[in-house]
Amino acid sequence: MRDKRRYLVVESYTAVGEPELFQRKLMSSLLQVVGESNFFKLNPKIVKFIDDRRFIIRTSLEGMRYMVLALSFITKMDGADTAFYTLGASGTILAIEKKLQK
Amino acid sequence: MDFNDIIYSSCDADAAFTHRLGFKHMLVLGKDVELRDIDRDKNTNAAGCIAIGSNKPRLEGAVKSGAHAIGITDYRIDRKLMQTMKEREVALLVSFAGIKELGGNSRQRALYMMAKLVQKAVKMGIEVHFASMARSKLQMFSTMQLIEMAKLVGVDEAAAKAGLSWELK
Repeated sequence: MRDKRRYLVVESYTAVGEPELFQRKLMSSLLQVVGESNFFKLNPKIVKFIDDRRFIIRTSLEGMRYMVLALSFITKMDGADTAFYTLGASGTILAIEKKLQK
Repeated sequence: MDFNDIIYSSCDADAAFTHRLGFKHMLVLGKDVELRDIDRDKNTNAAGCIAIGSNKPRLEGAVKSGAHAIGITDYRIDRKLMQTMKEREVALLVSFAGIKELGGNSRQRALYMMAKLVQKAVKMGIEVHFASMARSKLQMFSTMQLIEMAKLVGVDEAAAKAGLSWELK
């Protein structure tokens, strides 16, 4: 059976920069916060960059609340202060994009 | 349901950012609501203010003087203080900005203590409010994040939402 997924719109305090590098750094930070025994449950992946600060990240339905918490707990990336704000969540990318336009 | 957060005046959150985070208003300390740091200020008259600190007799004095809400900064349970809060219908204010500043074991310890305090307050029937009390944008949370933080320390979703939708009397 296909896993149920949720898409979260996240805003970063600092500019994202180079997408692939940012994805790697974010995954590493998430792994650090969530821990190896739970990271696989989140199954996170950045699916779209909206602008230089906002992006859409995919997670499993069961891991969504841990993803929201984990993003709250990330305060440093590459030694620089940062913060992530979860702006919204939905079951499809289309729905989350519609929410953003409101 | 409209959500509000409490922040320090040093936190430069504009209206657009406030709206993006999911809040209707940001209550600014010193402007929209008065804050009394009981540990620094010996005057326990905190009528209509939010009183924060760890000195329990002074916090009790603030409760008796008519404080709007009490923030216990060391998260230690004091039955006498909490009983007075219940009798005077004074809310417990839980702020999460400090959690962001901590890391590793200290953060886990603070969350544990916070959860015990919140659960005790809920059990005693004390109203619990949640806020970031952020000093800068780095310490801020969105409504989704504050609701999840509130659930993490032991309240259900409805109580978490109610704890964010308070208005000053």
